[in-house]
Amino acid sequence: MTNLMSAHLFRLKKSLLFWGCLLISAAAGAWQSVQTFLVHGHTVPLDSIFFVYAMLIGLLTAVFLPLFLGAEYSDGTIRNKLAAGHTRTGVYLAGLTAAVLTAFLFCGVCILFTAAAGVPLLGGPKYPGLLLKTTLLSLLMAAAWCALYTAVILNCSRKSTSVVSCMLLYLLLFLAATWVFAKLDAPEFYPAYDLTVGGQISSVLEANPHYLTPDQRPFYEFLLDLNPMGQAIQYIDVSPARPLQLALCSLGTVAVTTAAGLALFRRKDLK
Amino acid sequence: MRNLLSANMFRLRKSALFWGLLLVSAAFGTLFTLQHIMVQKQAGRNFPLSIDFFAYPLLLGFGMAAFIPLFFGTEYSDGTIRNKAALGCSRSAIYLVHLLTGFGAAVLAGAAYLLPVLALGISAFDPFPADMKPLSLLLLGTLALLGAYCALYTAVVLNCGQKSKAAAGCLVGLLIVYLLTGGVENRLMYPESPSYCAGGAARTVLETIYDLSPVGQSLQYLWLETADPARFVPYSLGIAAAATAAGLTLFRRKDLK
Repeated sequence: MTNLMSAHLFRLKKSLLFWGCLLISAAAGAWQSVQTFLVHGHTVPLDSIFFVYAMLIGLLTAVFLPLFLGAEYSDGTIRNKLAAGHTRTGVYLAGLTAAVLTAFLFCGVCILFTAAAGVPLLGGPKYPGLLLKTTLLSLLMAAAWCALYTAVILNCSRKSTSVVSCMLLYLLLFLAATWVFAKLDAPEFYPAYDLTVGGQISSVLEANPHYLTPDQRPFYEFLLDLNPMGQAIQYIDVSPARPLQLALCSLGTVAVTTAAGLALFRRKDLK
Repeated sequence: MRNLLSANMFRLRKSALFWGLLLVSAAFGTLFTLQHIMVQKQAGRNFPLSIDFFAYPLLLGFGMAAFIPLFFGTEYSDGTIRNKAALGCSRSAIYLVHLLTGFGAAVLAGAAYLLPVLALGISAFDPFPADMKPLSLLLLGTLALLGAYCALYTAVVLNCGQKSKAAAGCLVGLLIVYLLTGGVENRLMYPESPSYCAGGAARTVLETIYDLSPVGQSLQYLWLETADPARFVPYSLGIAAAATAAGLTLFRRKDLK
């Protein structure tokens, strides 16, 4: 497995796409700090823009991982690795570890540049302890994205199909997270306007029929926490409400998708 | 050119990806209409039949960004394009036939979306208005918009030798345009936003960008926000013409190996 990992890291070092994605992460981090300073001045703390990478990492890995890991199929490298005596489990886990490491590097560079540009412009973070806790949770979320994509990529022989599948999976999870978040965020009452006989407009509060009852909320909260994009939406607010559930959901996603992906990969005809 | 077109049509008919695209379009049409029928019951007022009509340009913007690279990228990976050129077909003809096939597939996918919308909605929603001209113009506008999407994707795919990179290019490009359009919309529509642009030359520029962007047009069709139904047709045709001219120029110089 060490050999497999070092081969991945060597390819990573030589990959133009990897350096391009790293550059995008750095630019996104720095730009977010500069733009916030230009629009709001010193009024917005660094904490509130710290997690821009949480929204970005799903998209970056959806593009990078199929092109990087998918090349193993198109070039016949996977077959050669097996012919050289490596186990399928080793090949799969090395791919997943390389993917997670890459995602962490993208996140790290984005954090570094957000802080490098943000600290002089917006000041230091107000709640460093909370930032550290949420950063750890968001790294688990990045690992969950990687586990999902690796399961798709290593069970799909065609690189182009992997690219489209991963991007569509990202879009699907994005839409699902937005829908669940909107349902949870809906107000209990909304103002209804009525025209009275005197021609004046009166406003009364009406109950929102779509407001989720306390019995329904835990289910939708679980759906939001289970979805990596739903987690990203919560990390933007810095202080997620259910940290333990979020961590367990990420770990669960990694475990279940890796088990399923590995089970399929072990049966796959690699031709 | 007729041979090229019939070869592409034959491939289209045999393609599981194409039938999948039609199926997904029809599924979305059914889903949106059923959802609006439920909302109509709860709201206690009738919606117009056209409420779900024009969601398909946005849907197919994403659908064609996946379909065109996968379907036409195969021509590169299998060497079909080189064989066609070697058989004496001109590069312009190859390019235009691909564009036409992509557009045909998009129109069929649009029809697959509209069919369940009409079938389910005709008895549930208010009927069509007596004057059908604005609705027909809107439909024409959305067809021109589909042409613009297809022209943009064809230009990327036929100038990118690798299918996977073409797919990533089309989907990422669309997402970037989507995010940028969202930023412009935020500056135009929401007075509570700190970056809201109230008027002046800057607002005119932003409005033009919003109207020019295929995603901006798709959103305005989706919300039936356009006062003049034919307003976007020249923009869409302009984008299609510019993308085709640029794509064709590059494709004629490309080394097909």
